[in-house]
Amino acid sequence: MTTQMRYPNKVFQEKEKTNEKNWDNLDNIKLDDWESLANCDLNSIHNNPSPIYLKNFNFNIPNDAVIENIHVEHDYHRELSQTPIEIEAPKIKIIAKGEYLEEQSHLDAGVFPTERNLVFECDDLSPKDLNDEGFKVEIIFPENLNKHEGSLYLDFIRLRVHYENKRYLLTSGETSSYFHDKDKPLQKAINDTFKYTLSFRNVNGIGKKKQKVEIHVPDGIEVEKYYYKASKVNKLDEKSDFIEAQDEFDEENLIWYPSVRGKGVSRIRLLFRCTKEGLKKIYAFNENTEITPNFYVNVRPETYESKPSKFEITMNKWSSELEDDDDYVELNKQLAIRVNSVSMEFEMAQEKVDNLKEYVIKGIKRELKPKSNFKALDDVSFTINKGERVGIIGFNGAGKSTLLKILSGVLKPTKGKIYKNGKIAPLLELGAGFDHNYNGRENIFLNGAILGYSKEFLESKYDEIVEFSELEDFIEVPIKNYSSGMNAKLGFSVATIVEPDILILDEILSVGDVRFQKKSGDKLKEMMGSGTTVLLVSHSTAKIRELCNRVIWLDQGELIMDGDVDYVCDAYIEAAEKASEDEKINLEFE
Amino acid sequence: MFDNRLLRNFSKYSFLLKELVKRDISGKYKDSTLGLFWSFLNPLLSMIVLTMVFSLIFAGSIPNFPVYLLSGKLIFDLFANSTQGAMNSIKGNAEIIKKIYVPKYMFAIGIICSEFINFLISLTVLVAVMIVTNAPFHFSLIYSPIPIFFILVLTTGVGLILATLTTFFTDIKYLYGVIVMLLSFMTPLFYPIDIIPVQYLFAFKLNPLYAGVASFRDIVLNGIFPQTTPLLYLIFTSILLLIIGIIIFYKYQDKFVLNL
Repeated sequence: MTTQMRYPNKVFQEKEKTNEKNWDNLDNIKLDDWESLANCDLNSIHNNPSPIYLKNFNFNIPNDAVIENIHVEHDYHRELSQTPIEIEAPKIKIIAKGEYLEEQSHLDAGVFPTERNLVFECDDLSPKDLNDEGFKVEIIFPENLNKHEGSLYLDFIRLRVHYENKRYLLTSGETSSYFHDKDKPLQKAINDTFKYTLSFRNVNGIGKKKQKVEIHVPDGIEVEKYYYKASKVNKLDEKSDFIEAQDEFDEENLIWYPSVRGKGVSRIRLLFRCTKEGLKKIYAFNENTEITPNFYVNVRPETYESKPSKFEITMNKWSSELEDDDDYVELNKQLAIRVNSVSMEFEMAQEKVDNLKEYVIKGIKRELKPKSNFKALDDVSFTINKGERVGIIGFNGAGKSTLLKILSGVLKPTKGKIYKNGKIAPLLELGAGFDHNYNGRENIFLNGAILGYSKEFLESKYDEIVEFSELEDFIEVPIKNYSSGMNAKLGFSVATIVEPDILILDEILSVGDVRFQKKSGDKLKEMMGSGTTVLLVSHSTAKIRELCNRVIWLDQGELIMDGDVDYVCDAYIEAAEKASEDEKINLEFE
Repeated sequence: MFDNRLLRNFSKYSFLLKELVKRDISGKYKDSTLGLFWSFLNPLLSMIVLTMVFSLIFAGSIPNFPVYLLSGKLIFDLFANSTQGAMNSIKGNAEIIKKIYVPKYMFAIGIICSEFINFLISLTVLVAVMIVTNAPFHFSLIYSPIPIFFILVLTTGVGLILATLTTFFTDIKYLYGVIVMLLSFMTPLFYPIDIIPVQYLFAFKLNPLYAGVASFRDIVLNGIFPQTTPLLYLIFTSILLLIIGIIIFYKYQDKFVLNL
């Protein structure tokens, strides 16, 4: 759950009626302290403080966030006096969209400041509603019940909005570049069948309500059969209460109730039969997501000979993940990487003490400052199944490289566990440990040994490495005489000789001259194919879109989004518009 | 299961160990014309110089001074060079450790192995000098691997401790240079132990290196199985220091990368 704290902006208003007292220093209540107060002097019984309005909050909440509730934290107290005023707890109203919610605060105004918190369940409000002119918070104090005079103090009012980033995602294969939109409909003849797949993903697993997906199919398209399979439902978080749920499908009204409750994905595949000619539009709708892009089918006369389209081929290969694609299902079931609430803290010493004298002297004087910790990763969890190609994005300092270093074993996480299944090849560094006095051949063996390859393996692949590096003529020359390009070629050729199960990449390493860059890029793409699990950090969202089918977005060490590549990339680019320049240096946003 | 994993990891990286040893040996005398021949020349020349200087002073009390000196100095140099090498092995390979997962102890073990090979080469000098000086080759020489092995155990233990400490405190590197010098005086290399006053003798006996050197000399010079007390003391301290070294190294190795 994402929590955000926001303070009101500047605008306060009072509403005056007869017999009401005005507030002084009302501006002070926006300061979150117990000292700068607003005060209202009450001088007789039945005197009430005038109600206060707060408005124009200007919350900084993403537009697609889901508001859960609003906490109104506030404090008021009365003057210390032998002859006190008596004021009961005020009513607090949240006014939005012309309606209001009202709650009674707790405790009469006492002598001592006591923080109160009222929670308003506002799950029907959108972030837009909160920033609307009509969104107000009203505080209405009751009248003074004592005859005495005195002051009522209002310390602060603070609004805390609890919201979640978007929870649900409904996709219909539109991430494929061959998706059949209006401009290039799927061509079918009457009586042909085609498949239509929907994935419903619960991104962060907080919403546990049963969801409903309406599938809109026009006249002339009929459901031949359907099947669904929930993969990964609730798998991610073993601690959370497991909710056993079944997919349900209302055949008459074409309404699908995905089984996913916790974090996970449900999928349904429908086999449609064309019965009438014409351009047909198919889409699906869920109240928490939006309408999926329209899928178009152009139904031709029965004599038309339809060929399978690229969309059908690729979608069947890459996203079917259903019973009819056993290999993929099998592949998808196997866990490649599990990251279990991993945190990484770095100690940031105020001043670096790395010599003994200082350490001893400061130790004796007890001046060793407690080191402040910088959290590079904060409780990050996810799992990656075999064959997934996962991109990791985030602004500078988000913890991407730290995550890769942890996965490759260079760093040990401060907390949490990593589970890896399969041979892992971290291509984070080319030519590590090259010895400048060695020639190319010796360095192939040294570098290969550092990467953990065996002698036999290196000997069997030696010719291939040399050939790929194009350094046959220089292989007996000490590498101190190599150019940096030649060094990189050699390093690349050694590093990519393996056939890993899991490939970890920091940027697509393209090295050497233009021609070799293409060659090396092709080599990496070849390694990524055929069921290899890929983890890629890239500064370019275009590269991620090209190569990945899932994206994890890290921000300041926290995993804030995990899901479909285009959806996450779009959200990321949107967020980038608001990010500071520092955070965006060297990043590319298409 | 733990042992199994450790062994599997070791065998996976055993080729790395070989490559590291190769690199360390070829790097030791790099750019020099004589190269590895220096492993032979170095002890020979220093033996000649020291013999010229000290054989006059201790002429009467030490029968075969060149052999006496070499048998002590080779053992001491094995310890000093290996521990200093191991001490620098983590910092010296920082670029690799920061980028790629490699079992870090490999770097320390690698340098110790390469220094040991260097030692074996230098042993030929001892053999040569023994032939030249007509020293007898006792049957007891077959026991010589015993003290050498435990000197290696001691070296590994101390090396692991130093590698860990130096990663966190660079000063150790310079401090240890002084300690090695002190140790070289605390180990009777070029003087007989008899010249030490009895009341200070205990300090020398506490030095496990002296126990190692004395045991080795018993074998080479006196032609007997090493005396029990010093040998047992060497075995005990070397194993103790190895255990301490392994514990410290394992405890802190995950933090190395943060301090490089």
